[in-house]
Amino acid sequence: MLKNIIKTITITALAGISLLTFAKPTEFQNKHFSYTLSSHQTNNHKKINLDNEDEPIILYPEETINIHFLPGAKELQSVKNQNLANADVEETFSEKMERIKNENSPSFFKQSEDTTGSNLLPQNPWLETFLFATYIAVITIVICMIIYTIRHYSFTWNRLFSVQRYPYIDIIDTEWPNITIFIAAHNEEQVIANSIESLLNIDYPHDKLTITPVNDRSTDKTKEIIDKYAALHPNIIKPFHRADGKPGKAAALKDATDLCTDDIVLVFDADYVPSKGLIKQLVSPFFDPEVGSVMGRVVPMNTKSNLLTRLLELERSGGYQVDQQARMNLDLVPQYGGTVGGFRKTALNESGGWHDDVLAEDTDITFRLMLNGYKVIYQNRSECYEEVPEEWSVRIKQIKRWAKGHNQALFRHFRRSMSNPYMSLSAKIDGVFLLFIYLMSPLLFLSWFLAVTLFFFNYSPLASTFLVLFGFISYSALGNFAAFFEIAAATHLDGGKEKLKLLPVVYLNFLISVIAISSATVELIWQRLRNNQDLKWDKTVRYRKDETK
Amino acid sequence: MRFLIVLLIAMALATLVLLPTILEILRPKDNKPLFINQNYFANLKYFLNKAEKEKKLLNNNVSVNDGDEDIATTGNILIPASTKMTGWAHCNELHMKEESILDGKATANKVALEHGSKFKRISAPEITMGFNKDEQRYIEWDNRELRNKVVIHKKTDIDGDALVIKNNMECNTVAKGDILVKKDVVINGSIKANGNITIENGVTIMGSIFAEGNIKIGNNCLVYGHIVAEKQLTIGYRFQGGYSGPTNSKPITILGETINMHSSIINGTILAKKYATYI
Repeated sequence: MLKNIIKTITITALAGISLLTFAKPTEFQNKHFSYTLSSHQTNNHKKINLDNEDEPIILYPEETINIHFLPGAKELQSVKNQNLANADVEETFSEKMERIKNENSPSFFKQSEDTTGSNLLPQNPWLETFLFATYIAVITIVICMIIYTIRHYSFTWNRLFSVQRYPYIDIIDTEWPNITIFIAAHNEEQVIANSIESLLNIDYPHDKLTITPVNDRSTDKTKEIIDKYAALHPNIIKPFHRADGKPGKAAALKDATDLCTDDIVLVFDADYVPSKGLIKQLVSPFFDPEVGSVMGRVVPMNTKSNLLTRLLELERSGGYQVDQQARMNLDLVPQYGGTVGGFRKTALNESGGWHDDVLAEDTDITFRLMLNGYKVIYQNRSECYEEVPEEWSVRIKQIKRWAKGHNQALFRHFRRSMSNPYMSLSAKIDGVFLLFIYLMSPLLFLSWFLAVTLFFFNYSPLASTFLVLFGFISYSALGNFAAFFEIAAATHLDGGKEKLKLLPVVYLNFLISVIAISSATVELIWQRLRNNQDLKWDKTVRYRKDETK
Repeated sequence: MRFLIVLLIAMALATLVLLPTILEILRPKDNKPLFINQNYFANLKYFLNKAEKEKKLLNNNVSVNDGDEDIATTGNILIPASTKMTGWAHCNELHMKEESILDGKATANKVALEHGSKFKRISAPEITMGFNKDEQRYIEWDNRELRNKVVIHKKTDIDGDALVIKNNMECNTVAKGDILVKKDVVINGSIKANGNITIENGVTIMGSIFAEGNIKIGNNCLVYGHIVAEKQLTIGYRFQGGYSGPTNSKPITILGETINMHSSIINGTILAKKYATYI
């Protein structure tokens, strides 16, 4: 616990210091720079430290003063002279320096008549072009951020104040169909028994139920545990052992689906513990022929472990309780998450079946089903416990895999989503936002650097400095926190009063996620440039104690 | 020195602001996982089990007084005319007289409603509203291949305002708009519309009916699947929903924001977010 806190504080401090260092405006950096003063009469250059108040120097009326920051001193020729000869002759050096400081402080902090700030820029057309392009890029990214901000707020608003849509949850009296439940397992000896036990206790008619543990090339005792249960319940448990073939969950499920005879298939990861009534809830939407896939809500169970698991609980809460449910309410694109959910086999086959060359098979399936006219349904009340990563390294690997997989889906489905005849306009727009969501992190990361670059060059050609300042403050106050507002609303809906106190620390998780996603995106682009399609599937580490012992 | 003092003050202020967060990290007050009701599902036996457990299960016939709550009995329950009952009623046979209101749920083996009675949820193998059980029709249909076949129509397939189904069909049909099912058509499958569904008289649907808007069902119709209208549901005269026979049972669920019904017989559950009314 203590170790994690120290680690967390260190990372926060480092992030804060680097942010301050990068974002510090020039006004506060003046003490690190010297000014060069020159006089026509003496032609004498003299360096003065502005902090040094012990050097009062009286300047004379006919004097001309050139101002330049030292880092650019090599290009002294290109610096425009700023003639201050008309200044008050009685002015002391400290007064004059104060005036010079004010005149040269960044445009964010002064009312300048010249908003271009070109008097401070070297007259280099290439640099000006670069700065203008940078400026346009930043503006574009900010517009994208604002769109996502509006999206976050509208989802939260909808979740808090609008009518909630649960059209299938009350289908209670029915003849239940035959279903198959897959338990995706790769070296899951620690958790598989618990998962099978839970599924054996559900209140779905056992004569209509087949449980298929999909054992994908496990090298531990997973196979023995599954076979033990299969021997005890031969009519229900029909295992699928896979000794070779392409690695990865999608590839294993693809092979298992080919052998499955039921049209409705539910999928759970081996660390999930389904509750008694969950299966009926997940099956009920499939009576609607338009439903291709169903997704339930994932709830972290190892929240007591450390700060990370608690932060991930908040994140999951925001994602499911608000984001997914709002998309369900608004008939947009709720996402199938690959576990605690299921699919209609005929719909999946019509849409091209499983693709085993993707890292996020869930996102891929969501979009392929939608593009073929089917719908994905989110059932917020169909909750199931899962284990979340307890170590930052595992978490980073997990989110990198999601980011790569999601961006793969973006490359594959973006164009088709835009021109799809089945999806409504609002679903198309939401689909595009959903596809681009993991691309926003690298863009945000990039925009930080670009914005700081512009800031130091004092470049703001299209808007008045006041407008920029106003926009900046407004965005910082509202926009940046839209996602956190979503998490806060979700936690409120879940009744987690004390958990809300952790909200300031969620920013830490956000920063780390932004960096991890950005790095994953760069890796993916690099792989595509090298035409390397091999994507490694990292299995998430399990933390539960070995249940077989 | 001055810098250090400023830094210390800033750190102290930051710590003060983050004090609740720091305390929650160091001494968690709420780090339990979110509670999941492991049995959450609309369990029809929930009230009966609860009454048995609490030894509140009666064994006599009960006539409800205005404002009565939660009654569980192995006998029958009568809700007299213009009487309102709240809570849950569990019994063998439930009889709701004219203009009576059940502002809650009912589970029974048999429910008979009279004109003007209103309720929120009733579950029973036999719910009758002026319809004789002997007049039920039973049709066998169990073609799994056809059950799984789905034809999804784009908006461009829609004829005028709605996808018009004029002939018998052997598949599930989805329309990204409205659906109109013409008179006497037999659909061996389910239908789903993103808009409204209108079903004319004498239609037989072996599957379910789902609409994100309103559903209007004509007279003499038979539906063997669920009927789910996210807005208003109107059901015509002599309607049969599901089937309850000596050897076969096909329970269904009928859902709507408001439900207006005429003479009907239903095996299953009728649930309205606001009220279901037997007009």
